Amino acid sequence: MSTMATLPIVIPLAAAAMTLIVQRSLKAERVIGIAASIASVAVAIWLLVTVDQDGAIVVAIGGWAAPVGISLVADRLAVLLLATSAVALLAVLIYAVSQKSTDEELRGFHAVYQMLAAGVALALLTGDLFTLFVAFEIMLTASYVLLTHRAGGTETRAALTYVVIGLVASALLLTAIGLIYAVTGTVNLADLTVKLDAVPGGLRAGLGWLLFMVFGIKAAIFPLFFWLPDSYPLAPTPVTALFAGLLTKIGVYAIIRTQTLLFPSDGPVTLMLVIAGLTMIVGVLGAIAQKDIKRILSFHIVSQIGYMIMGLGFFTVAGVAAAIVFVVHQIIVKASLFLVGGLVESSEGTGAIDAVNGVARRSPWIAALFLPSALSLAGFPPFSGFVGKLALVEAGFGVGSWAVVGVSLLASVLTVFSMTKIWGGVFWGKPKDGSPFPVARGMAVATASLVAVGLIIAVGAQPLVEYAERAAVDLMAEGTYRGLVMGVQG
Amino acid sequence: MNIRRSPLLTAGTRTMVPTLVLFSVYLLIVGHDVPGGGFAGGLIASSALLLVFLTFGSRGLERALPVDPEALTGLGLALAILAGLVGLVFEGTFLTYTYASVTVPIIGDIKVSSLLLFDLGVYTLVIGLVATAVLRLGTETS
Amino acid sequence: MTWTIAIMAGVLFGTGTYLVLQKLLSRIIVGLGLIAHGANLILLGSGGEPAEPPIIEAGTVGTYSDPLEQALVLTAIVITFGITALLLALAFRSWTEQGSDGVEDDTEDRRIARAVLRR
Repeated sequence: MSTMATLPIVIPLAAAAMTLIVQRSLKAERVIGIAASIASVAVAIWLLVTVDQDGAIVVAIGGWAAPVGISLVADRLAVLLLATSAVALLAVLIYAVSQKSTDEELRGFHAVYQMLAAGVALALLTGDLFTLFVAFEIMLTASYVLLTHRAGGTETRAALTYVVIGLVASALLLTAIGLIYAVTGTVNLADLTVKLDAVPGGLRAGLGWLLFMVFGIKAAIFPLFFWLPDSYPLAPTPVTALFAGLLTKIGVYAIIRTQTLLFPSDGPVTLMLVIAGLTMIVGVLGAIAQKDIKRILSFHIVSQIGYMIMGLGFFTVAGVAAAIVFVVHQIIVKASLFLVGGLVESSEGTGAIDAVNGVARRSPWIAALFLPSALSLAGFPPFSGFVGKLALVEAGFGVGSWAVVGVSLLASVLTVFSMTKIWGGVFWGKPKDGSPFPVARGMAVATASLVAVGLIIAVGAQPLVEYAERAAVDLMAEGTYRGLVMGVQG
Repeated sequence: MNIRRSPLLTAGTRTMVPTLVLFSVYLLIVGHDVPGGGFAGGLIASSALLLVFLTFGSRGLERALPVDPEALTGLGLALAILAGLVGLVFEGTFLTYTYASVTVPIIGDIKVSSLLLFDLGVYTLVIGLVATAVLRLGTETS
Repeated sequence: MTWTIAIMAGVLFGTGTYLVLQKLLSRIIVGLGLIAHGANLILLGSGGEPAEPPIIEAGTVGTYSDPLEQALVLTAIVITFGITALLLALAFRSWTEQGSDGVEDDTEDRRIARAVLRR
């Protein structure tokens, strides 16, 4: 049992080691990388089922029991996101290896990719604040390499913004951890739940908002999102898809985890709801002003983060459950939208809306892949975005936060508007002469399967919502997490 | 590369490098209960490699370290994971350390800990990483 | 946390922030280094009286310092060191490709500024 909870971290790490050893042969690297990703998906799904049936799995790494050692906590929320991200990682990897001019030009691409996977898994599973920092660093350092390895002159500048912001955020996270350790004497999340109760209210709130801000930089909430639309679109498609799908959502996960666990609130948190509303509106307005598929989609990332923060801001079981559903939906849909954007780029040669026309006529299958994801993002029934937004709206009515719900609906309408801009500009119109560039089959298959996963989420919405509700009950019930972690001896 | 080397640097390097490497191995071995360990040892060994690089250039470094440094990094990571798996197999949790006593003739009883394997992994990884960085960043390209 | 550490951390954060806001990349990187050092110092200072040293047995507390935050700082230093090295390499590439060390204005900003001027 406990072995399985360490595997999501050990598998990618071991794969990274092996790809470095065999890196004379690209073929061997590919086989190891894809095999590791498939194994990660299998383990994550096993965990998803087992944890739901038998309860959370807690591992005390190195045999050191909870307050002293580092624990891995595989509870419902962690394994749900673990499974979702494993699926996204696999699809994007397949897309990346089947590109013509591949990202594998970077020596050690597979090693870096697997390190990123290990960082994501560690961030989701760890029950220790400092290990969370280390996990973020593993993930971000890998992302720096992936973002910059193909960058030219101007791109390097934008990439530098990303690295600088990342480094500042890390220093602030470190400061927050230092301050929390100074007042409580522990960095173990389970231990902190109790020790923080002894801390004066004002100080506690300060620490809470500091952590919120730090993870907010990583999650790209208003007003800390400006780095995202500048840097993400410059990366190669698979990398952008991965960043868009995963990295910001891990930031959201960290916010949900730390806020529900360490800084619980009895009712809706107004400041969080205001931030959520502004994030939604500013993000979607930014998207409307853009003229490039990837840039539009990048601003949508920001906008959608607002919905998740809104769900958390309600601070009810329904709200948090809705936020969880929304995170799952976003990881899949956002990654698949970026992959579709990449398909357009590689079949038409550019992603600028003005330069591309009539893709629906030229390559109908790309349009067929774009449509469900775009409708899902905009929140049309019966797609997964609708499920998430409906749950959020209901949760909002539950606590009577009419204003922010109204803002979220407005943002949805504007999302539809900017999606029709992509649709009208890129997919409709008079096709230009000449045939589109051929697209590698692997890229199409990877995109199609990710879109299919998105559809499965929509069809299987009921089980997902129920699962998220159970996860949210675990999160909101005081003492559950502590009971889990502190009970386990090495 | 026809840069004239300082004879002082050459002679210094020739004497220092063996000492540094020996010291790094010492730190590696004693690291489990006194200050030292794989990381410190690895850094000292890589400072020896850095000295070789400064004196004899990248060719010299490649001769002194006749394996692919990136593969060395991978090997180090693999060894560290292996040490974790040893704990998993013998003690039931990942990274738990375990040890066995081995009787070696002449020297006597030696405790062999899986911690040493972990440290060896870190040691190898650090050397590989530093060598990679030095060779990639220190070599003039176009 | 002692006053010395608190004041030092404050000075490091202040000067670091000032340098990060400069237009030369090399200064920005030095500034980031200072900010990171400030954070490390805070972490180091966090092992004061309120914390109980987690590993040492009761009774020996007075003679030992808290080992945990030192381990945390060491980890943090290594991580910051690695990323700073990466940043320097990137800055070097940006310098060789663009021939300048300066950070240009944001292209989006300039576009908006031009649009406003035209009006």
